[in-house]
Amino acid sequence: MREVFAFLPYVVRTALRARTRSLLTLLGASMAMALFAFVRTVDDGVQALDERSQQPVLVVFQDSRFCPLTSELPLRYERDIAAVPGVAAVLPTLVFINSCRSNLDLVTLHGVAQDDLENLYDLELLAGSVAAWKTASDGALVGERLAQRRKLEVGARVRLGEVDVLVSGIVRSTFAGVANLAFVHLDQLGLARKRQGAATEFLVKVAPGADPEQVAQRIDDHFRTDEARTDTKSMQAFVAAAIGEITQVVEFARWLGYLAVLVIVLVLANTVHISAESRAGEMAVLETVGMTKGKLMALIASEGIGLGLCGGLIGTGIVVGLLTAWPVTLGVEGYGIDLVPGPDTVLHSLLAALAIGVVASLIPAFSVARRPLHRAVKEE
Amino acid sequence: MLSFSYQLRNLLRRRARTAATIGGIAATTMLVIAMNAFADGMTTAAAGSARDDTVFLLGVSAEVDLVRSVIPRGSAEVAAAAAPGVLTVDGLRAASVELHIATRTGDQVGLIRGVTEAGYLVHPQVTVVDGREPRAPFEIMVGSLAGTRMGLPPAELAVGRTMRLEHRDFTIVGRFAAPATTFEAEIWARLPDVMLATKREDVSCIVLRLERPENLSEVQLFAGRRLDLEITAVTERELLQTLASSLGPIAALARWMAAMAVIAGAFACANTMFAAVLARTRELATLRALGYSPFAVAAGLVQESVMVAFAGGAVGSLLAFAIGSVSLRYPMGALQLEPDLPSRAIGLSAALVSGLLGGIVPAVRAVRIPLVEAIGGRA
Repeated sequence: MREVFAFLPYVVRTALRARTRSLLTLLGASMAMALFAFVRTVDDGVQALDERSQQPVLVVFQDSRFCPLTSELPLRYERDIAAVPGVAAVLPTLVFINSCRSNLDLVTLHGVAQDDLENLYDLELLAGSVAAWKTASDGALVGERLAQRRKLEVGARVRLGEVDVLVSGIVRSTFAGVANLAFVHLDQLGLARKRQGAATEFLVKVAPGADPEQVAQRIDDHFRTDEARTDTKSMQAFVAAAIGEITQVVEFARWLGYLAVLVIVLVLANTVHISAESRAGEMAVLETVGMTKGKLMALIASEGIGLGLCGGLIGTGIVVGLLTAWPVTLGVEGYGIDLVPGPDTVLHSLLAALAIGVVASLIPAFSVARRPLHRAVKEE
Repeated sequence: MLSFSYQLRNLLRRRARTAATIGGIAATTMLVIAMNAFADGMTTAAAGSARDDTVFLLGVSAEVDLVRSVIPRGSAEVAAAAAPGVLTVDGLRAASVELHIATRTGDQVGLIRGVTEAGYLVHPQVTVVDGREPRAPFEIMVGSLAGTRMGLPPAELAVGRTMRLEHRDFTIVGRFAAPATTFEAEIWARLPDVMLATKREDVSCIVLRLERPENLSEVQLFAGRRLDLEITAVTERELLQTLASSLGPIAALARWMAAMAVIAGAFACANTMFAAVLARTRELATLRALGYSPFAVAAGLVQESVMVAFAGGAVGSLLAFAIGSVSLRYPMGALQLEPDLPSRAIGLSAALVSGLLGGIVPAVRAVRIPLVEAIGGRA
């Protein structure tokens, strides 16, 4: 390994010797790697939402309903659900979202009873106060991502989802979706949306030791002949169903990412090939003075790997920079898929760049190794 | 000017390099076609079917969103019967009372539209292509993309099959097409059946087809005056444009990705041409010494670059054509990615732009090298 690093200055000098060629390759690889990193970010965002939904909580929704805008359950169901064995806490929630379709400007309002909120959610207050929210009838506790996207601060009066609210606090939670929603008072939202006495869903905390599936079954059985039938699922299954709606789009984006990778492989392979061809004589001299074929191949490959890695760094950097400056959240059925390139995304992109560099260098490196010394020397 | 055969021979002289560049440009072209088809599919399906003579009457709290719109059935019937300026065909008013439902069965989400006979008058884009429209209780007809929307194979949506929706069995009696519209992902049934199955006592909207688009102001006046009905009039164009604008940012994102792919392709071309220029410094200088003008030499190099790009673009377009159309499901809809002629033309144009941009800089550089130095082989 030390020997390989000893040749690093030589590799850098070689790349700098053909500055324009190296720069063009770098820029091409950067653009394609930016595409790849973006697709990875979408993929990781979906996975992160799925992981955050793994909570011991059930969601009671109206049966056969797709979007929160279409589910309507009587508020009186709360008492009956609380009485079901195995239920530790119930939170009636009236949900309003600005669109059931995919969008990049998701706003979700959760109208909840102020005293029950903390029974269900594990909230970390980042700014403001929960007490201020409880006392202000138009108060809102805003998720940190929504606050970041809309540049909201505590004390601001804003219009969210067609409702005027006062930002009383900014919160963080490990729960799926909380980052992109604002908690408002149930009565206020019911009045604003003309849905008093109704809830979109009930969140149910399962008592320790109780079987969530049995509890869900009991709830659905209880309301089977009532005014509105219920469909109770675990939070994870509920979020997974929402994510399922964009699975095909994500899969399509993934294929585009692979195409971008193919573009980089071909551009890099071309560059390394040109570089190896133009230095055939030089390589022969190195071989003559004792360098082994393996080391010659490593020399050729290191240029491709270096350019690939640099392209990966620049491309991933572009995506990280842009998505940090302009936060993007993809909304799906009221849940937000945050496009945040985290350490995993960066690591995956750089590993991909490394692999691309290796693959792109293979053919040129082998072609150098296979060239007979006498013919290569003649080219010097 | 340099001859075409000379440029072609030059490209064939370095086959591996040319093939790699063609491959890169082909992949870039496919990326551009795919992203463009995706962006087009998103926005065209939303706004492409808008008609100026069609007006929606929605519940006042709905803004311009059909999913949020709720109107009591009685009010809807009154509005459908009393709205002015509505077209009449064979004694039937083109005023369709509709209920739109997104229903979930397991992992499948279907979009059901409950319609009356007038529904076929107000939505002329819909054509029955197999079987017939629903006439008897609990019959449905399915759109061409309903299978994609629900993740079901075509065989399960064949005429004569039964589909369970909202805890009821519906018989499929027809299939319909409505190209480039949101209808394609829907399932249509009779309004009373959908209301019964979903236990709904209200409807989503009333769709009116006017005798002439100018009658819109009369309808708006009617909606504004009849406060008891709690309705608002919105043109189909306005409604679908709102939908398209919500999907617009996603389409824009796709187009940005396509632009990045074009830039990457341009760099690939430029790279190849730079290598070609460097390897042929002496040859190009000889051409200049023989009397070819710098412009002719530069133009020849740009032509070479464009030829490679054209070959790559053609390969990419052919591959996209061979792969064919792809259907994708997205929340509350489905779209068909069609690598049609315009999409392929855009892909090919993007490839040519890549070739042109990638060829200009190396060409200019080649002719700016002093002739004496170039003949000496110093680039």
